[in-house]
Amino acid sequence: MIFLHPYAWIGLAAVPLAVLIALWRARRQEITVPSMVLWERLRERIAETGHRRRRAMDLPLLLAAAFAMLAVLAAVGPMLLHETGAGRHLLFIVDLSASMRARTADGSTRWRRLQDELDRAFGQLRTQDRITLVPWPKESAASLVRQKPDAARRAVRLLRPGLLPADIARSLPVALGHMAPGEAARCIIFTDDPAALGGVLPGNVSVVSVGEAIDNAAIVAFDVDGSDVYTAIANSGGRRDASVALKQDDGPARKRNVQLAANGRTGIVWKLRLPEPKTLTVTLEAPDALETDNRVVALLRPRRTLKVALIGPECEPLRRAFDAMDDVAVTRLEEAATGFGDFDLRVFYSVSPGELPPGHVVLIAPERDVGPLRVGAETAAGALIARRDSPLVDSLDFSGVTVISARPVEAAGLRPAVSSSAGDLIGSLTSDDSLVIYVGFDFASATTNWPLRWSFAVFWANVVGLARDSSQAGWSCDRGSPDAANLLDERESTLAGEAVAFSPEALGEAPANVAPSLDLAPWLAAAALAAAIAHWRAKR
Amino acid sequence: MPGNLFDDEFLRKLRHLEVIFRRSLIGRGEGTRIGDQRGGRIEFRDFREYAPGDDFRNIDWSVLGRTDRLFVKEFAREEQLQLCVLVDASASMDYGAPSKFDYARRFALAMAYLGLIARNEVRVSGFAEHMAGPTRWVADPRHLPQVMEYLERLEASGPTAIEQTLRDFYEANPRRCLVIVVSDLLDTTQSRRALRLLASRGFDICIFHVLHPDEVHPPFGGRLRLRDAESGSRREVWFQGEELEIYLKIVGEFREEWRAFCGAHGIRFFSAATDTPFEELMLKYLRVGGLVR
Repeated sequence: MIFLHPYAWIGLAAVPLAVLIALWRARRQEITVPSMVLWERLRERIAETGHRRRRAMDLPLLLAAAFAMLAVLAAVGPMLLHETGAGRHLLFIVDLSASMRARTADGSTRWRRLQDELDRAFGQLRTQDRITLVPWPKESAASLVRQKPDAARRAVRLLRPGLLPADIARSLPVALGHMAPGEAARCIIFTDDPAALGGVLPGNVSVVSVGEAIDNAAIVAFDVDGSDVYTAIANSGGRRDASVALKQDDGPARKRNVQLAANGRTGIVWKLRLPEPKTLTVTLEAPDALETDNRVVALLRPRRTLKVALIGPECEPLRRAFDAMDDVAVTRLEEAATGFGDFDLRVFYSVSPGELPPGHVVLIAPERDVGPLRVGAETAAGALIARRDSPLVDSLDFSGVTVISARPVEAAGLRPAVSSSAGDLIGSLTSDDSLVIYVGFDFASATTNWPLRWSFAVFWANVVGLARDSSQAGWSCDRGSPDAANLLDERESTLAGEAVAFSPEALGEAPANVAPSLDLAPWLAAAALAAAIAHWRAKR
Repeated sequence: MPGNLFDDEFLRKLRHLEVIFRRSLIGRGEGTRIGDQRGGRIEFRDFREYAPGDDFRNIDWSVLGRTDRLFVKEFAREEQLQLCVLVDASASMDYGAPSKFDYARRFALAMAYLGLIARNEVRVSGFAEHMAGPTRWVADPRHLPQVMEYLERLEASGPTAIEQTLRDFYEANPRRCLVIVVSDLLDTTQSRRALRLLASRGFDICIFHVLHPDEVHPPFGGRLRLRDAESGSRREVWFQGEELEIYLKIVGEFREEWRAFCGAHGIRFFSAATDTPFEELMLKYLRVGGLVR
């Protein structure tokens, strides 16, 4: 809005003058009347509707003031302007990662600061501009494409930071994908961690950051192994004291006071007291900026017996190996019954099933091809080589183990565990979420001395362990679920970053101009005339 | 009150008027009204057969010659009636320019003049809380200057008490006569009760209600502090637009209440504002209302 005659604002001085005149006229007058007889009757009538009488008294004054104001406004010559020209397409990437919840030194939060920066950006926009809003990570909220600034502003106010890591660099191609071919849109990334964007950004991309280094302690690792509970606390900041508490179900919290090293990690191990707790809660009490990473809740599933079927002729070493393990129920089956029963693990010893049954399978010395496995001819095994990257041979010592003859195997995707010059003798294959383990030699004493070694029992314990993990049986804890276990990504707990304030240049050049669209003076003059007429009538 | 009240032209017109008295009033002495009582020698009334004791001078000898029967002529007596004008001289009458009091005094003088030229007995008195010292009964137009002097000396002050005034009047004049009360009727006493009693005693009463135009339609407005001219008491009131409408309604109701009261008790009632031309009042309104003819 512009004013054609701004000097006419001086006329506003007439408004208080008009009010003063009206008040002077409305002052109390003393009138001598012949008698109060008639006036007392009037007072009695007025007493019934006194409130309305009084309000009516003020109407002329209000109308006089309205007239004066409208007349002055009309004289000033206000004129509405409207913007012309095409708008810009702007891409706003908004970081909604967990670190946005961090409190800042002034008592605000990173998210509040980010909203302030967004408000500043929205304040520079015009109605013709169109905004594509990309909340990131994209699981937090859906993108809004080519919205009007007001709609985008309302949408931003509804956003809240989540618990997921941002990995903000991945957001850029998603956002730029909303650009039309050949379009020169500008992109602004609103984040607290510009370093995560890596190298040099494209020319049309700029960053607004609300990050700054804040001291924070966080639970960054949590695991349960048997009766051991392991917790790691990372401290980004100076050395300080903290208190860590473990709570099993509704039992009492077991607290430990620890001293957190400066910019380092501190590990804590607890022994479980309850045999099978359902929940474990670890709470860190330390003065820091982000509360979300100070508490971890894990839901634990109970132990379950692993059902194993031994199929084939009796194998004494194999039976003894399984009997030594807890929570394993072994059933011997004839070869003809291999397809029946609900087993977690089927062990085929010296028999070759026509096709792979469902579930986890161990094939020991099969004589022919089974499923994808191509079984080779029996040959001298030679020296054994254990592949340390295979979980099957974890903690195994093959020294002193000899294998006379074996059938090497080949299969696409086979992960060898033990090999020799003849080929892969022990290996695993994952097929349709099922584990297929191949052992290419018999356990008879004439073939190998392995059953006499300690590593034999450990191997089968590893097999059972893999089967358990694959079946999600045994100890486990969920991670990442906000309600169950809010173990944040460690990058979110490390509250680093730098502050980069919003600059209007980031929006690019404004192509729009303004032009007068509506002269308000005649309308205001008409309104002033109406007020004057109403005042005249009210006075009468 | 201005010295020259009426010009010659107006007096000439007034001379054609005559105050209308109620028939029930009993006159005395020699006046100009033809009364119901027999007597006198001039106004023939009727014939009747002679009865022993009748005055021989009244026998109609020409009728005796024609009919051989004795008839006497009867004459009506020309009576002299009494007219008393009570002028409200309370402080409330001293309002406006010209004031209600001046208007009332002119009216009283005019009525006294009409009464005197008709050879009636006339008395004028001012009143406020009590009846002020009245004039004596006079019946000769030559006494008009005395009446005028009395009215000129009269001053408006004090509160209105019509009730007490009428009591004073009745105690001093128990004989039935025409009583003309000239007042603004802004009275808080039991004036109506006194009027009712006086009317029931056979008095012919006429009320001339006089108001100033500013009382009928107040020219002021806004936030007012009103001062009572009689009592000096004060009241604050907002007076604008709607209040004025209510006030006008109240004034109308006030007049109608009095008109209804007077109609119910055989009292003649006239109401006028002081902006009504006096000549128009006397020659038109009072004639139409039946006080003069």
